[in-house]
Amino acid sequence: MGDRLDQLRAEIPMNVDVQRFFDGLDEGDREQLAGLIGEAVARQEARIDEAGEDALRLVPRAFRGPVKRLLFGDHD
Amino acid sequence: MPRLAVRAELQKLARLLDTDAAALDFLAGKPAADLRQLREGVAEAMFKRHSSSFRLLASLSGLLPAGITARIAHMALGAFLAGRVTGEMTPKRAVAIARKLPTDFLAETSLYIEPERAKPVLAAMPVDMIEKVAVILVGQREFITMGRFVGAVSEAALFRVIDRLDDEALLHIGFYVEDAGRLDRILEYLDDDRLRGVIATATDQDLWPEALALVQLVGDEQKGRLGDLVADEDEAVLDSLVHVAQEQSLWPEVLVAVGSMQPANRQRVVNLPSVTDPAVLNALIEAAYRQALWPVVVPLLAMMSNDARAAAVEAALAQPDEVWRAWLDAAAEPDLLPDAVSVFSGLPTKLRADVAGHVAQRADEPDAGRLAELAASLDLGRTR
Repeated sequence: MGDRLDQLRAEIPMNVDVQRFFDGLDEGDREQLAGLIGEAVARQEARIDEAGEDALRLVPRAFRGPVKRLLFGDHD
Repeated sequence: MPRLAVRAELQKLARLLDTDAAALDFLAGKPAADLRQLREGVAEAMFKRHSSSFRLLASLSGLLPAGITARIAHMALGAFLAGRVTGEMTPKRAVAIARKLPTDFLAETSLYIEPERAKPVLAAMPVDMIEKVAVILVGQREFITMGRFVGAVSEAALFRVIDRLDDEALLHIGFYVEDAGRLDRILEYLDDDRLRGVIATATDQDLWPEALALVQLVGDEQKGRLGDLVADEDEAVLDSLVHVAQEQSLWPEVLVAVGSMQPANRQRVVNLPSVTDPAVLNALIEAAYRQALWPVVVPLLAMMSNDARAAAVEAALAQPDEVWRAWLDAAAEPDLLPDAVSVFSGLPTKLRADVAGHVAQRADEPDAGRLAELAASLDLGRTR
């Protein structure tokens, strides 16, 4: 398996249908699709981070770290 | 060019991945159903990555008055996060908060809602609110979002929105609808005059592919109704459909539509000069072969004039052997035999002899018995 697909598997859970779809692709297409999905996941992370930071401005500074961990966990 | 359902799926996948549909061209050969499963699986996986956060935010929102939660959602969370959290709320709470939010924010939020996950919430949203949001989404040409919401909102809201939409928007949105049952209900709701307007718009605005996509999804009754309304149109409209089918390789979709018409309408359409053009007949035969549409095509050929039938058979004979072979196999099926007899029996002697020659070549094959029956019924034996 290619690097991008392995990386994607580590980032998001793939159900049977998604796995089967990837299995039906040739190596090049598999990597290309994994790359596009990986980029979308990264964009989602950035958006959630940004939205989380905006929301946390409502929380007193001293509590922002714990509240952020409580709400958004640690996905890095 | 990929089939219509594949085109729609690739565009929806591109939306999910925040990329251009062209970047997904390498998936155009995949079946639409597989692409849909991929999209749904990826959407679910992306959601699951943060689902506990979304659920927690939804629970916390219940601790504050709706007005304050709405203000936090609007001023701090933003549309993206609000959209993700929506599906995790109780419908009652979500409606109470939505009532306190500006419509343009609700419209922006709707872009990030997963309709399937948020179905109970969307079904509970007031009709007036859905209508106002829909007007904004149409103005922004967010047809993919609207198409995906069709199966999730209440029927009352759906019909109200349809009354507000023009025919062009209706065609664009219909292209992305996933709930075929809902499409049937929409067509039942639309009277013949409105549908004639939709057909006129498909012709004027080059939206036949969108119209044909609708035809593929609806049940037989509405398929037939749509097909007959199209057949009622004047020849210029039908020619534009033939032109689009030829230009965009949409014969499989058109054949399904024609096959669902009343017999008299079918006869009129298949004998249009634009249909009996040799290039069109060639494409039609190729579509029948590639999509296994002989059960639709053979009866249509039987309705053509003798000249057109002969041109169709010539078109088939000019194609690779497997095409003609597939036609003969289909023609020998008991259901299609009478129509096949009708097609072959009206051929000029030379062509009949060519057909007989092809049948004779298969005399040693295991299925020769069925073909012999076809040959005998055509009385082709005499020409050998």
